[in-house]
Amino acid sequence: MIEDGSILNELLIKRLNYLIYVVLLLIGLHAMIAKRNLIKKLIGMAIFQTAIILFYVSIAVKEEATVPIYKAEHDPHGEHAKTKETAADYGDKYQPVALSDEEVRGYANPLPHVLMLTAIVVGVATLGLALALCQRIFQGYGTIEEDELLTKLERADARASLSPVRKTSPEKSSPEEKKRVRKLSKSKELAKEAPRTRSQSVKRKTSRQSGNRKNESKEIGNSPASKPDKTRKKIVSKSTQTGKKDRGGERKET
Amino acid sequence: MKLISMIPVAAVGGLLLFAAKDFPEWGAVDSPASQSPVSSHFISHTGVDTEVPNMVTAVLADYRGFDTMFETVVVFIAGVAVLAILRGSGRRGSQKREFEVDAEPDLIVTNTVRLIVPVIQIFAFYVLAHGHVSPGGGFQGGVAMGASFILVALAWDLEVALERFSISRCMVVASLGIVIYGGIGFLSMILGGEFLDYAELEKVLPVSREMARYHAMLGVEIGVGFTVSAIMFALYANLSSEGRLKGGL
Amino acid sequence: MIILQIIGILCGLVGLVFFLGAAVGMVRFPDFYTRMHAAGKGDTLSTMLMLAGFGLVTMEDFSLGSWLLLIKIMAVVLFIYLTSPTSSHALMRAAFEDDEMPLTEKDLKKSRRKAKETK
Repeated sequence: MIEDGSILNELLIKRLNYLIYVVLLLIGLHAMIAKRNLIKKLIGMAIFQTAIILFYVSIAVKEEATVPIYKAEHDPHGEHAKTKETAADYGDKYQPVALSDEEVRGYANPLPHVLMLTAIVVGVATLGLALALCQRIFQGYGTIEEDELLTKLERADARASLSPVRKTSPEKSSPEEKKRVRKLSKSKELAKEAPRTRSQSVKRKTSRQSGNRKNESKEIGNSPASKPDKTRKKIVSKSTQTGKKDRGGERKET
Repeated sequence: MKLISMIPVAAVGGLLLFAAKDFPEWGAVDSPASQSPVSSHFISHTGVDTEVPNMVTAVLADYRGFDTMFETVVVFIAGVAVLAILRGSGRRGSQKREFEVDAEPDLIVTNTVRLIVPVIQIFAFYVLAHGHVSPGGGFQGGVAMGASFILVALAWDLEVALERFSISRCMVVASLGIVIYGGIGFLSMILGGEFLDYAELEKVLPVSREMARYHAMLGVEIGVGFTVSAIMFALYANLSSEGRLKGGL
Repeated sequence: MIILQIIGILCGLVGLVFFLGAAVGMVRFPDFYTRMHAAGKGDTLSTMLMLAGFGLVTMEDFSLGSWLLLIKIMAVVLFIYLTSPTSSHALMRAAFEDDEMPLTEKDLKKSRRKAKETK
């Protein structure tokens, strides 16, 4: 079964490293496709990246070769230089000589290492950026689960289409009116999309110090995901009642 | 959903395994990547061109210097973007989260960190400056340097670390790194060469053309180290505290 | 120096045994503190032993290069000796601040009683 020339022999013995990278890559790909949690997706992305980095580095490997740093005898400042200087064929202005093909074979390929060094750096940068985006999404929506996010966005869209502001048929009104309406609905959408934003609830707290404290502490203390939908609806309906007020006014009203 | 997601995964896996038998074997000397004239030139001529023993550093900072410069810019932009994304949220919600606990900085931890941080920083400088001769360079040294500040933030408090290396200072240092890198490039342009053609620096440095490239590479690596260390710490400070820059881990 | 190498290999093997102990402890111990105990102690000792073993194995000849390598490895051992217990201490302290209660005899008795009742 594992005799010479068969596929299993190729995959399991001669090219086992590629099999490992493929498995790693597939783990990452599966995590990126199937997991709903954004952080888990990012972990999948990191695993995917690791597989590709390992693949490149394994390409650079040569049998019986050392790391791509000059050995003492090839070092431009080492033994190599001394022998050439004593040879005196080069005069006092010594120049290091290029390596022969045979000597080149003794060093691993430096180019994939360089490429992967840059890839790792870019990977760190993108990972940091992605984590920041995740934190922002969590602040805005109270969740980083993909399906919950989608339902929240859909709900916000549905509410926006039901809102009385949109119903004032925009095609009849003048362009200025249209602009105003669009602006209003936009601000409304914004307010609706993220009614449970922690930061907003904090502001609400500061803006209505005299309001009923009980309800407030409930709103802030509960984690946004576990909060019953009722309170949220209340907020939204209130904000629709206030009608054509700008965001700041609306917040004062609630 | 899980099953459906397995279909593309299996397809990709099948394709990759199908392609794997065309790839060179482990450690093949005559693999296309190792046979290419570019990499053999890098190996054979790095000593002649730059007198740098570490080929990876030479390729990174000299042959592919333009690439590395924008690499550094990518890191810088990532740091700025994280600041921009998390900034606004930080100002508003500057109150404690329910999962945060009040804890004094621990005596054992702080004293160990006092002992370790100077060593880490010296090691970072060593990795940065010795990157020509041994494995190392700007990115690695910069990350080690940033880690030392992160360690301070972990042991005491984020505020204590930010007192020493505030975010505005981080940004100044990070942009200074890019200015150093680009400045060396422009200097070589002013001296009559092309952009990032370090050999022209022989006109201002009292060394040969090859050693000018050697020393210019060190300068470039220092620029990279500045940017990376500052951005690493800025990323940590922002991500650990959700942009509030207080409390946090 | 074959004796030094044998000592080095023995060091590495003993380190592996301690490492196994730490890993088993992580899985088998019942609560956070005992698990951290296993991880902190076993991990530190096993890493130090293994690194010291590496250092001894590389002392083939007493040339400058091997001495330098040994000194570097010993520096790593020193820093692991300093930092690894500190990190496990920090984790323990964080758990303590977070009111994580250690498992006591009472808890064990309670859980045993419960197990009996369910039977």
